[in-house]
Amino acid sequence: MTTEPTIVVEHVRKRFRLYHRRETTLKAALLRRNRAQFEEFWAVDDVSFSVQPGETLGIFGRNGSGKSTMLKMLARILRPDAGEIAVNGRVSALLEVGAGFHPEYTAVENIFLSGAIYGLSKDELRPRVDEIIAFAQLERFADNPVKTYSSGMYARLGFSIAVNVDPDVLLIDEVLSVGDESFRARCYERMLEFRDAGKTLVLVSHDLGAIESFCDRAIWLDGGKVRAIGKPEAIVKEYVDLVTAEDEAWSRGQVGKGLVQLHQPVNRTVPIVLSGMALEGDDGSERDLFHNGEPMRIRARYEASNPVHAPSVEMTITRHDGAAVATSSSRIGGLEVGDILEGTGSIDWVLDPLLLVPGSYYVSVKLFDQTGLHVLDEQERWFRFQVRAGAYRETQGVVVLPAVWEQSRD
Amino acid sequence: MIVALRELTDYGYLFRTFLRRDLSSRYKGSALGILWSLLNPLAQLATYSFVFSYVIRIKNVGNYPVFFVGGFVPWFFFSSALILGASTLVQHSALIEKVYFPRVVLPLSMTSANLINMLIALLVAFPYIWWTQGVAPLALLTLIPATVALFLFAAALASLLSVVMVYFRDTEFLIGIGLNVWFYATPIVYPMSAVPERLRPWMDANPMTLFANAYRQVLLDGHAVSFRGLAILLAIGLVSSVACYAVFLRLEGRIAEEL
Repeated sequence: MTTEPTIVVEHVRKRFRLYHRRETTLKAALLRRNRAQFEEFWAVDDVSFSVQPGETLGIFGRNGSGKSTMLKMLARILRPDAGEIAVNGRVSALLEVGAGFHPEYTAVENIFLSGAIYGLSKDELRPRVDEIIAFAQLERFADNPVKTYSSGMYARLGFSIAVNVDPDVLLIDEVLSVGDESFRARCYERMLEFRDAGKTLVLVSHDLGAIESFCDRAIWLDGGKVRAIGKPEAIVKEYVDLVTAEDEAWSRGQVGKGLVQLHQPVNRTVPIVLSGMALEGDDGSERDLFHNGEPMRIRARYEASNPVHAPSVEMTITRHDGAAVATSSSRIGGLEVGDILEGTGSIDWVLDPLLLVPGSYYVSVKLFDQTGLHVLDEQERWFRFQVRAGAYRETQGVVVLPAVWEQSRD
Repeated sequence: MIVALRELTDYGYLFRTFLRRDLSSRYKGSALGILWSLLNPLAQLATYSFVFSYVIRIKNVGNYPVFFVGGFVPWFFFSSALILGASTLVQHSALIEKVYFPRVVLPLSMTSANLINMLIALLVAFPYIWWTQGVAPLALLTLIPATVALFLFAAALASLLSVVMVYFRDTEFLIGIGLNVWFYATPIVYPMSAVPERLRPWMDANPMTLFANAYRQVLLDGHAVSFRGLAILLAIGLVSSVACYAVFLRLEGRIAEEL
């Protein structure tokens, strides 16, 4: 089957200027004594691809790889410096949460405003308002100004408008990450319907799981160039392998220099302080990159200037966004620390196996006295570590639960 | 440019949305809203009338307030459209960086809002003109194409300045100075007859002189604008629109990064 592609991108390049000194006055430009100083770099460098109707394309890559710039060019917010972009049909772009909303307007007024920005008329919009509000589940708040909305509500309204203005092409940049799970599920469902209706979708995401499961084709951008294009499973794996290898190399480099500590321990006039921490693998090596499924030992070192009676240690793992993933203490865990005399030592929390999904995490440590009520010393977000996919394939959610899948037929 | 113009026709509702906001933001929050928008031109009218008919005593103009209104109404529209229209792109930077729509809608809606203000001002001044000068209905009809031409000229310059201002922020300041000079270079407070003979060809090269004269001719003397006069005005409007829009389309590509 040969059809006209909806999107054709040919040898597109986009140059950005990094200004060292910026001249924004006519006076300066006319006098020319102080010429603007800038470096140019190619944010997108010779990218070509095409997307067919009914196809879903995922674009991924590291930060600064040019994927958002590419999407902005598809959305016509930026114009390429070289090459051609042709997009057939009405484009709906969701590039940022709340983009194009007027904070003082209500949801309904913003539907008309956003719809107008998409080039629709009032008569085209009026019959869609109820559906948009219903899909965004904002019935109760429809007449409140959107400045009172949470970011999740903004995202819901934005997505709901974008999919309900009857676009032929939908461009989405990462915005689904703010909605709650159930809304996200409905968004994906709606995007599937959209795809089945023969429309075109371009998704930019860090969420490799979503790219793998949702897209027909994926593009890996690296430094503004197409590193790979093709079946998502294959190139996502290639990408993950590369990133993992680089991170391991970085991590090994760090071990030699002494581990990265986010906060230096503070000396206080308490009998005992936390003096350092380390993460160890099962071979006893210190590192900050782990694969899930392997054991991880979190070691908190202490230094006692006076004897301390039966202290306890509490450790918390938080996600990069601050959400607590797990907390435990030596007391709960049944470790009798007993009396500590002067000197140094360490208390370890051994996670075996490590059941975190890929991502970056922080460890916070607290040292309590015998009553468990008074904090002797504490270190917030003391140490950062990375988890990569090892024994587990799960990438969504917070943790991996040890489980199996089974099927039966009646 | 043809493609861009065709696309623009889809954005009629967006244009009306912006227009309503540009109008209502000025009238908001007071029952006397529309009167406030007339206060500034009325105050200027009173001041100039006082200064130039009692203090400096400009002669040979008949009724000075009507003489002044004839030139000042188109000028006031033109200058406020330029001042307010020029800052539209910079003011809406948040929108421009995040969503696409034809950017020219912004200066266009602002110019249109000012046009509506001018029409209201004319309507308010009309009974007074009728009473003092009488009215020639056929002559008034020739003001319609003249106003269309004036609108095109103002919209063209406002769009051009709005995109230039994205690149050079001090444009705003220069517009203020430029308009001040332009105001006195146009026979608004004084009649053409007060200008030395050898300067008059230069004065006629100023489009705003032609617009002020056309309005004055209709409102003050009740003479229709000649066919030739209208053709020149429309040519000014069309040529400036095409030229400025071409520049606008060229420069608009990079404004999202320059803002």
